[in-house]
Amino acid sequence: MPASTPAPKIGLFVTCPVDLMRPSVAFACIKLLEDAGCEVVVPPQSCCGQVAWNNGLSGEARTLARQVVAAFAAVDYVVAPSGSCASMLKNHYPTLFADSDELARVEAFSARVYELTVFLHDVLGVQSNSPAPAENSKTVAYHDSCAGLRELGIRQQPRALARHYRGVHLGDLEDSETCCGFGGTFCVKFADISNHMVTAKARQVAALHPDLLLGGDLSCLLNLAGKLRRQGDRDTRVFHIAEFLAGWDDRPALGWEE
Amino acid sequence: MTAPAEDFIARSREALGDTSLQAALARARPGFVRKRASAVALVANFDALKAKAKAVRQRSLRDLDSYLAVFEQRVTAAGGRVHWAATTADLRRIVLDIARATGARSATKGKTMVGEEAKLNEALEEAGIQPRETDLGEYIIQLAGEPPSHIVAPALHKTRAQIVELFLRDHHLGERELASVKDLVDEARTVIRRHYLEADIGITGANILIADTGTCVLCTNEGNGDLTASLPNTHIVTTSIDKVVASWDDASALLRVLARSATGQAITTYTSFYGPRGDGDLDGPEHFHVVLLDNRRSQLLGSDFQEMLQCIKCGACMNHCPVYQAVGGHSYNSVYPGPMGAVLTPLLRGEPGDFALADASTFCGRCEEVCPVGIPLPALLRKLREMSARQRGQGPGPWLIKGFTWLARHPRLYRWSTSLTTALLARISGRRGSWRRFPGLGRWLRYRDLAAPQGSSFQHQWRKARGGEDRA
Amino acid sequence: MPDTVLAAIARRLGRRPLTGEALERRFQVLKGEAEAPVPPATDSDVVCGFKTQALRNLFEISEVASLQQALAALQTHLPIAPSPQASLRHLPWGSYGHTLVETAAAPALGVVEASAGIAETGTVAVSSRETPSALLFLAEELVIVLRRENILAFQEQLWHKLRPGDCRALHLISGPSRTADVEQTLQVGAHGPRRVYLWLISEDSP
Repeated sequence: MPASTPAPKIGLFVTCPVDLMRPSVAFACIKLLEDAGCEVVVPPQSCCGQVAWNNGLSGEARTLARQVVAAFAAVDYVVAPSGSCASMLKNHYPTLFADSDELARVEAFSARVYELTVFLHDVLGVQSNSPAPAENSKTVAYHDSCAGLRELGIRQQPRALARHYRGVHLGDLEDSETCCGFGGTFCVKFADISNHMVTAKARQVAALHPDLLLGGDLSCLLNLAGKLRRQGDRDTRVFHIAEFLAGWDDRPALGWEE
Repeated sequence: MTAPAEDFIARSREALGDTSLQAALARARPGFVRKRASAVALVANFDALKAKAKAVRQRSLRDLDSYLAVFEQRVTAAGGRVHWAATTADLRRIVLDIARATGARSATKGKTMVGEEAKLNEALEEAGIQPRETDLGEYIIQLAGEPPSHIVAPALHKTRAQIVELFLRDHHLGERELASVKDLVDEARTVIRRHYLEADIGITGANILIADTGTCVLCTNEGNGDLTASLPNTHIVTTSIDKVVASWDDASALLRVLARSATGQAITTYTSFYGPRGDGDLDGPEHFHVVLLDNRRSQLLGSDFQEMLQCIKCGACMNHCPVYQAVGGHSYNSVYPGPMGAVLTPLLRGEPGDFALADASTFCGRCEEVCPVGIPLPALLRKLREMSARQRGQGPGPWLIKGFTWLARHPRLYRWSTSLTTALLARISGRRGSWRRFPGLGRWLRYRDLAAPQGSSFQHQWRKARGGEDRA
Repeated sequence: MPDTVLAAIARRLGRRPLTGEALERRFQVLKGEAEAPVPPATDSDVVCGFKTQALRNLFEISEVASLQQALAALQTHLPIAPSPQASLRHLPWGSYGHTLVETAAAPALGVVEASAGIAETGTVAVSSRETPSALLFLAEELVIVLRRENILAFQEQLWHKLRPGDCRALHLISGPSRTADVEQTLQVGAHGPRRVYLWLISEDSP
C-alpha cells in the first residue's frame, strides 16, 4: 500500500466460537492486521445471527444484523476469521433486507466485509512483500470449510499466505470439497449423520498423517479436533489459519492444554 | 425436536448401521462424483452450458401455460391424446382407463418417477394388469418389493450378492452360478426380453417435452425405454407439467447438461424423440397417450419455490450430498430423495415428517454447485425451515435460539455472561483441555470431545487489556 | 375436466389460458425470445471429433469407400445372416453370399442406415420412417451405415436439416446398450444391441 494513505481502519468481527472458545485466534488476527499496517478496533459485538437465519427465524436474524451493521458503521473494513460468519455478513445480510428500505445501508456494509485470508491476500496483497524462507520440517494440511469455499470462493488465499508467511505448502485432504458435518445445529440435531461425516474426515486426516491441521472456521475445527482427540490421536495438532500465519503453532493446540 | 424429525432420524440411524447399504453407498459415490467431474472437465465452457440450461428452464416456467397448451394441440393434431391429471389419483384412473380400453393384461414399464410418485404399479396390479419393469434398477427393486432409492439409479442401495439372491429366488432357471455382473445382466436381458414381446401396453416417463412438435424425449442407456415405447400397440407417457420446453433447440440445451451431470456421459446411449405414429412410420404403437401430472406443482408457480420446478431430474445433487451419501434414499421415505427431494417432498406431499427433511442439511452448498440448472437448493431449504418455524409451532430448539438472540441483542450483558461462563468452564476443566462428558452436551460428546474454552472471552480480555471499548 | 390443470397454471401466472390463434401467435413470439444456442467447445474438425466421441461411446468404427465395399466387409468380418432395413434391401447382398433374414424377435445382425451423425456427442440419428424401431433395438448386434457427408457438428444443425417431429420416433444412438445398475459397474449389452458397428461411407450419396 502507498505510504501516503492513512492506515485502513479494520473493525474485527470476532465471531462467537472465537470469542467464547479460543480468543488466541482473534489476537492472532489483530497481530497479522497490525503487522500489515492496519489499525484494528473491536466494537462491542455479539452474534452475526446465522444460527437464527439458518433455522428459519429471520426476524431474529434481522434484529442481530441491524446491531452488527450499526456497531461497524465507523470502520473502513470489517474482517472476520470465519468463512461462514463473513458470508453471513457479506452475502446473506442483503438477502435478509431484500424487501426493506434498509437495503442500501446493509449493502454498503456488506461491501466492506472480508474473511481474514481474503483480506490479507486480495485486498492488502501481503504476499507481494518478501516471503519467509521455506520450512521443510512440518506436514501441514488444510480443511476448506464449505461456506468459505463455495460462498466466498476461498481456496487460493490461505495456501498463498501459508507459503508467504511460513514457507509452507498446505496439503489437501482427500475429498477436500466434502462437508465435515458441523453445520451449526445439524451436528446435534442429526448427531449420528454428523458423526458419519466427521469420521470420514478423520480417516482422511489419518491418511495424510499431518503434523498440523489448519482451517479458516473454528466451528469446523472444533468438530474435527474433537473427533481426532476422541479417536486417541495425540499427534495431529489443530490450529486456526490465523494462529499459524502469526507463528503461534508452538502454543497449545485446539483441545489441548499443552 | 418434534416427532416427525424422529422418523427421519430413526430411519437414518438404521441406515447408518446397515452394512450392506453402507457398502453399496461407499461403492457408488466415488464413481458418480468422478464421472461427472471428468465429463465436466472435457468441456471448456460447461459453466456456459449450465447458464443456458437454466435460462431455458426459467423461460419455460414463465409461460408454462402456453407451452403446455401448444404441446397438447400438436400431439392431438398428430393423432395422439393428452390427458391432464390434477392429482395422483387422476393419473392412476386415466392410465387404468386407457389400459382397460385396450383389454391389456400386462404392461412393460420404462423408468418413470412420476409413475412411482403416483404409485401406479399398485393400481395396475389391483386392476389385474401385470406391470413389468424393464429398467434393470427398477426391475431389481420390483423383485425386492422396495421403492427406488435414487432417481437415476433406483437400485443403488443393492449389493451384487443381494441381486443374485433375488434372481435365484424369482427366475426359476435352475442351477446356475451368476458369478459376474455380466451373468446377471445377460439373465435379466433374457427374462425381460419375453416381457417386451408379450406386453399389451408400454408405459414410460419422459425427460423433456417439446411443445413445438408435441414430442416426448426419452433418455436411457439400456434401450429398455425404447423397447417399451415401440413394441406394444399402445404407448403411454406418464410425466409432469414442468418438463415442457418450447423447441428442439431448447431440448438440446438441456440434453447437453443432463447426462453429464447424471452419469458423466456426453449423452445417454439412447436419446429418443417420440410422438404419435403417422402413415410414413414403419412401425410403432398405434395409440400414443401423454398423461401430464400436476400434483401441486402448479402451486409452486409464482411462489418462493418456483425455481424448484427447473429441476431436470439428473440426480447430481444427491450424488454429491454428504447426508444422502451417509443414509441413502430410503431414509427420506420419498420417491424424491436427497436435496431436491428434501425441497420437493414437503411441497408436493406435505406429510408431517416431510418438513424434517429440510432440517437434515448442513447447507454445505455442494448440491447447488453441481446443479446443472442452478437451483438455489440451500436457500429453498432455508425457506422451508422458515415455513416450519411459522406454521408448526415452537419446540425447544427455536426457544433456545430465541433466548440466545435475546442475550446477543444486549452486548454488555452478552459480554459479561459469556466471559463469566467461559472463565468458569476454563477453570473447572483444569489441565485437560477437552471434555469427554458434560451435562447438556450429550449429543456432541457422544461421538467427539469438546475443547474447553481457553479462558475468559476474547471481548472481556480485550477490554481489560486496552482499558476501553473500541481502541486498538 | 381437461382445462382445470391448465387454468390453474395460467391463474398462478396471473392470466387466463390462451387458445386458438392467440395461443399460436403468442407461441411464435415466445420462440423468438429464445437465447442463442450454446454448443460445447469442441474439435474444429467435425469428422475427427465425431470419430473420437464415437469411439468413446464404444462404437466399432470401420471406414469404407462405398456401400458395396461395406457389404463385402460384412461377409468377411461379420459372417452372420443380416437383417437389413427395407431401404437397403435393393443392394446386391447375394453377390457377397449373404442370406437375408426377415426381421424376427431377435435378429442376429440388424443392418440400418443413419440419416445423420452428430460430432459433439459421437451420435447417429435414425428415423422411424426409414428404420423400424424394433429392428434397431431387438437386434443382438447392429451395423449402422452412415455417410461421412451427413456428419454435423451440433444437434441444432440436425434439427434445422431435418423436419423434426416428422416421424414417430427419431432415435439418437451413441453406441451399444449398457447399464451400470449392478454395483455401478458398467456392463455393455443390456436390452438393446450388445455390439454396434458403425460403418462410415466416404463416397457421396448418388
